[in-house]
Amino acid sequence: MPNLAIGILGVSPPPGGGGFDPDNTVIVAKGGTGGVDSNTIQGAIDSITDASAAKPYTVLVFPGTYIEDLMLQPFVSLYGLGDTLYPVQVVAAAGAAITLPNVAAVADAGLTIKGITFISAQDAPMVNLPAGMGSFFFRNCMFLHSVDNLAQNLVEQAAGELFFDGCELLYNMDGNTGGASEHNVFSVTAEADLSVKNCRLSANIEDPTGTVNIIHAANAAISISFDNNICRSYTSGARTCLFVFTESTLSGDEQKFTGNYVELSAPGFAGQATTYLIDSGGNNSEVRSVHNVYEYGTVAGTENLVIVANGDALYSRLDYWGTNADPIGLGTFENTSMWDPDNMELAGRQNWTGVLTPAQITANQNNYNPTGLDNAAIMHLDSNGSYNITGITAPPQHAEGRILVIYNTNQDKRITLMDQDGASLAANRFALGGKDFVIEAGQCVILQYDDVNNNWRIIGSSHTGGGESIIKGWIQFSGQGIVAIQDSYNVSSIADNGAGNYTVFWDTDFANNDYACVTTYHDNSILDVWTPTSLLAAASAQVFCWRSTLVGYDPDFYSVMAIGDQ
Amino acid sequence: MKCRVVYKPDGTVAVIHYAPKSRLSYEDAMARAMKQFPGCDFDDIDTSELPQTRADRNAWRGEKGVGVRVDAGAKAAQDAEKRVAQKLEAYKLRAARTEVEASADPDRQTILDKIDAQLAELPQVDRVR
Repeated sequence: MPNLAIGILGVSPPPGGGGFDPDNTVIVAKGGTGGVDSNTIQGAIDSITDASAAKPYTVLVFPGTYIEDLMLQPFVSLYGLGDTLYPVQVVAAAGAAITLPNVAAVADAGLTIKGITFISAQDAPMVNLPAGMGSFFFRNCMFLHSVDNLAQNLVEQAAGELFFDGCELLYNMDGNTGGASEHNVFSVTAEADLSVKNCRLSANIEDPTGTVNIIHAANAAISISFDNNICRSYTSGARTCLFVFTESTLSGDEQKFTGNYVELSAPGFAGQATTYLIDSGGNNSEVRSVHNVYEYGTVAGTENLVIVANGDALYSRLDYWGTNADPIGLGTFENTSMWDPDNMELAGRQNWTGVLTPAQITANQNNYNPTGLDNAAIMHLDSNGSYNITGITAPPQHAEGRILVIYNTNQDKRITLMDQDGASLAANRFALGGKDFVIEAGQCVILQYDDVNNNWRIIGSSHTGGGESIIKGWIQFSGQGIVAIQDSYNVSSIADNGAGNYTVFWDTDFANNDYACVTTYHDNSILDVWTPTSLLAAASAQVFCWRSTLVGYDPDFYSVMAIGDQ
Repeated sequence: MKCRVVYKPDGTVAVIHYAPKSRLSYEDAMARAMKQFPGCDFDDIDTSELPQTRADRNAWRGEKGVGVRVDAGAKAAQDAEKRVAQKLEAYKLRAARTEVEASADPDRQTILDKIDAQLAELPQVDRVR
């Protein structure tokens, strides 16, 4: 059909092309006759009878609302000439908004649809590609599918190649009595290629009877390329909200997801959210995920990071997984993401903040739960005496594997963590292997909550914590000339009481005087020396060095060690 | 290095030396030690002000504000005590020597040599023979 309207209406040629061929261009507008070939889009398409690879046509559509279901034909592209103020809108009349043609060969490359908003409230897909080998491009289009009781999908592809670039696809549904087992933004059911780039997708499904998927690739020979998209999926019912469900057996080169933001929410009762479900019949599906952000909104039920069936695989590289849920299934989940909570690798400086400094402890503490404990990584504890803590309240939501560092900031008083002390609730107690742990003055301890046995355990400390088998204090000092302390531990001072007569004072007292104290000497010139220890007290030990004549003697060096409860 | 001299009621002194690796301060460490010497006067002095040899340690005496000195009377008593101890040791060795001489111990001569060597080390040994 000849056309003279391009010049008359001042229509600009499409970018990147060589301009419209007036002989192969058809003009559509809602009204008027001057230069207009048709008042309906379908009428314009149907008027074209000789389109081919050598003679492609373009249908230029002026702004307006067109209520019709489009049955496209090969080599006939649609270009909307509207803008956001005066859009070109196509409202589905009774069935699929767009049915793409069946072309027999790849060489029969299809068509481009650009700049058109499609709206549908029909119980039918908006885009339907049932058969053939054509390639179809959607650019800068919008698809608004809002319907009740829908038992269909937004895009149904059973063949060919579909490309979406810069499009927005909104899939809203409220209630479903159609019995569909799933609702998909993209439902691909046979050998096909799907490429989606730079698009925004939203599935907002109220009360569905089946799973809500952004993509379901339900065939072994489906290739997917999904890049730089923003996807949000929400379902209010007790169903699974899923990003990708693939049954394809293709490799990671043909199932690629790069640079996407994905957010899944399932706040309804027992609603579940899963990022990937990979389950191919051939047990050799591979999905490659690179530099994506996966976030969960509110999920009432189970959050599954991924579900990978036996033999299938997901390779994640530099993704952000905004959940700490574990992957499930027997397949491969190889995750080298930098910000993966399950396999975190931190190359640089690490700072633990979240310091809590509670009020000074003035009594023994049971189920210790100072304000702010839930969000603390480090507790600075001070006390006005040496007190016991029998348990720390473990917030149920954050207890699993939690790390808590405790500093005893007092320079004199000790804090004792009591082993399995019944004064605190069982889930708040410390499991210390039968021995209490003393946090010495100025020392610290690292606890981790063992969510298997529901107890706090010590995984590290700056000191020995009062173990009975550990030396609690020692000193070496000279016994000739001016007394000089060579080295010591847990000793505050020594008193020189006379020849061969010293008192060692401990920094931290022993629990009583039932501890063991050993004294020896170093002196090569005298052999008849003995060093009895006597007068043990909790705070000190008086030691002697005597010749056989019972005369006090000062050897070159004394050594004193003490072991016992403190 | 600073130390604390404690003056006991009997005139003897105790010298408290602070342990540099203590987690307590000097004052706190001294306070702990002073519980052993209730009511006693003391001075904090530098260790260079103490007698530089401990040979007469048991003769050290002192009082607050004066410091530590070696007391002549106490030293004489200490020396007398040392002499008695040495005589006692010499008597023990002589008694042992007599017993060994009378024995048929095959190592008798070796033992006697060792006793004689120890007797020779005692400065008062000739007087007590």
